[in-house]
Amino acid sequence: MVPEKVVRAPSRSGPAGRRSHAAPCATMRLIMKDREVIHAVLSRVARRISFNRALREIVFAAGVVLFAQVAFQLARPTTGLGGMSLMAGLGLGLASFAIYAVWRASRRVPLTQAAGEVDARAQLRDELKSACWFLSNAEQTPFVQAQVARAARTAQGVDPVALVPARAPRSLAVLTALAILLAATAWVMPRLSHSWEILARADTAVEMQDAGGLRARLQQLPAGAEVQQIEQALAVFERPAATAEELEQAAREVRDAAERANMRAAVAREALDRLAGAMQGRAELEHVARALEQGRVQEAMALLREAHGDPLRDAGGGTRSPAAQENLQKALEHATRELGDDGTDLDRETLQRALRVMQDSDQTLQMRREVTEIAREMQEFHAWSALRSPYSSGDPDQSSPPESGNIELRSGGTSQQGVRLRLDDDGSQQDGSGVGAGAGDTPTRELMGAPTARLDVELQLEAVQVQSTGGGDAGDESWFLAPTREQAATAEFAAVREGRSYTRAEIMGPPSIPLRQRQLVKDYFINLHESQDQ
Amino acid sequence: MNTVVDRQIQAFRDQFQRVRDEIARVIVGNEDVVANVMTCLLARGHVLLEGIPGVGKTKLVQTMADAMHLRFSRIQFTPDLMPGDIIGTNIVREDDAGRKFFEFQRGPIFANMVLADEINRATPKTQSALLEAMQENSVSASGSTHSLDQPFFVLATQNPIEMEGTYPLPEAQMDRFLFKLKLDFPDVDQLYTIVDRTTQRNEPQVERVLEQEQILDMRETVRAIPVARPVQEYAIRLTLATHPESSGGHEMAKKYVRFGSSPRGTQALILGAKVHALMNDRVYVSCEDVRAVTLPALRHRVLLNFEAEAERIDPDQILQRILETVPEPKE
Repeated sequence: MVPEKVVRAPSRSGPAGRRSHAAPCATMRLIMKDREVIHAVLSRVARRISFNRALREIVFAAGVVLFAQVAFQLARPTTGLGGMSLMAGLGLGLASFAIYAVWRASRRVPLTQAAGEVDARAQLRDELKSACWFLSNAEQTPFVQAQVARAARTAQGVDPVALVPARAPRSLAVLTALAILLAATAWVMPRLSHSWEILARADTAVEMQDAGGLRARLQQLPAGAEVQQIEQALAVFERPAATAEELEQAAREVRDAAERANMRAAVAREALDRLAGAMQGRAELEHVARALEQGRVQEAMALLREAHGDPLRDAGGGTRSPAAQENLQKALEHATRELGDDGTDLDRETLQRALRVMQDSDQTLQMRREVTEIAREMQEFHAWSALRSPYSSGDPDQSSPPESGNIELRSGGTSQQGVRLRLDDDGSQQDGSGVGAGAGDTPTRELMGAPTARLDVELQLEAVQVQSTGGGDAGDESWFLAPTREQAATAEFAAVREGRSYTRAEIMGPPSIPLRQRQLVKDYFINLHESQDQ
Repeated sequence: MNTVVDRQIQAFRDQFQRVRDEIARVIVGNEDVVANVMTCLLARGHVLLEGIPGVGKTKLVQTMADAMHLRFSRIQFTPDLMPGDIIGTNIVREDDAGRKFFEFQRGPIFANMVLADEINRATPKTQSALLEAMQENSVSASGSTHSLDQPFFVLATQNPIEMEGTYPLPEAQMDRFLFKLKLDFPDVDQLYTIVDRTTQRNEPQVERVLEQEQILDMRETVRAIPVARPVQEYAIRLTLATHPESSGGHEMAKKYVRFGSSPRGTQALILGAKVHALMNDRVYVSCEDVRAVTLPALRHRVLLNFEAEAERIDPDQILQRILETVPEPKE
């Protein structure tokens, strides 16, 4: 059977067959209509593909950011990166992600690619892809037109929503898992170690707030070398770029300041003890002496004022009395000498001196308490700073715990060295310094076992004027501790050696000091050694 | 307008299917081979049939010629066959006045459908005479050129066994065949049918269902089918994948192939795909059509190296792997 009309391949003379002049226009209209139909469908498909692709890539990019954050969280304990670094990393990741998302969103899916997707998903055997190419490139032969018309009909039956559904990418599950992992690491990691508790508390905001509070408390204290020393150390702790060596040096400065404050407190207690001893000889001052012995300095001062008026108040205003102008040591000497002499009457100047000794001693003790407390807090601050420091991996102070026990022990040890331990009437042991007990004397005494008799050595604070190098005005007052009496041995060494025989097991065996007290005992003797040097 | 095209395509499919049905009355099985032979005829190509003796190679060609009302001739190639036996020769004739003159006596190649039976048994010289006619669609004899009648369609058969005393076709000559088809041995059911059909008093006869003019029209229709560039790109990718030295060459090709397909292979892919597309009621060519004709179009153009021969690697295996791995263009 011969077909009615065979559409042949295009020739140079134009399409085969005879047509009217109107036919090409009608053909072009049909082609344009088919083109619009195909392009409309493919545009919708392209948009959906773009959306799905953007969604997929957003999830992927978010997954990368989350993965980086999880890795960051896991690496924090070893790298020492803090909250600011975390926020910076997160911000950088989000910024990169935003740029990436914008760049991907700006890339449009070409219609040919959309046609290829539709062909592949709807199994159209390259129908739309071919039509797309014919519309833009090929000569419009009858077969091409027929193909485009068929493709347009096929495209009308295509449902872009069903063909390219907006579905969540499979990597969303991974993203969710990463988010859970990130939350878990953010919650768990700070609790993995004791040091992380400090780190968790001392995040950046709290850290700055704590530093400000310490500085405010320091400013309320009377100016002195210890306060200045602690302020300088605090400045080092606050500096983010401080190295481990600088931090360690600052911590040593803090410990030294606390130790000096303890020394001053010990001398003050000694002065009060001497004053109390001198007052015990006088019946009218016995209740004052008892209050002083029991560490109730404020009460003792109140009792003294109540009994004899307020000699210091009368001396206020214009020129200070001679008793007010002399230094503490001289006032103490005068007061104890005159108070100890039962035959003389108490004059106003003696009372002024005694009251001034009590006031100054009380002030010294209060300052010691403040300095010790601040030093303890700064020691915690130092522990956090050491963790924060990128150089903390080689922390040389690993042997000492970052807690405040170190300071407390030192203060306690120092007090033991310079302060008399006395037995009260009820037989209970009491440190000569009630202030020191609050800062660590009590646990120190407990750790050190049975009460011991006081050392028969006394230290006195010797104040000297430091001459300036230019030979002009006198400089600041400095001080040192000078022994007033030597310790006399109560037993000969040979007698001690004979009275104690060591078995081999005792010598070769493990030390009998409990494990948890070894460090304390060691630090105690180290402090003794350092104090003697000083 | 599109209705005309649609009718034309429908007519093509009907005629094609009628010929296949008619051939199926005689030839049992091998439907794909019949379709591919028809494809070659309509794509203006020639076919190399390969199969063991007795599977119906000659019968297939005879049946096709009968069904399509074409002049058919058969040439049994033997070692002593000369080119003149195929092309024809000048003979001396004498007119009524007694004057003698040369007259060209046309050989068996002057037919629409030529069966070159066991072409590998003839000498290369004789093979070349046939292959030149296949390429040029004309023959030259005694200084004059004689055009061959259209459609001119050669089916050469080749026996893969009994290779002694034969002259295997050179690669360049093999390249001139559009397809190389393999006839498989029939299965048991098909053998029953063959026995039934060929051992009775009256063997089934075919009717002529296609005229010469219709075949020419169908050929024109095939040529009019457009091919989009992405599909052409896919055919080119497949061709290049057979080249061991090409950057797009497949790993198996690099290992086992000595020479890849020539550009004629790409042409064969596209032409065969066009017929395949028409047979599937499409007015365009898809990558699926290209895949459907890859094996017959390229298997005789892929020349294996010694390693492949030693490992008994078949070109079809390589082409199958290429089809599995070469991706279609996305856009």
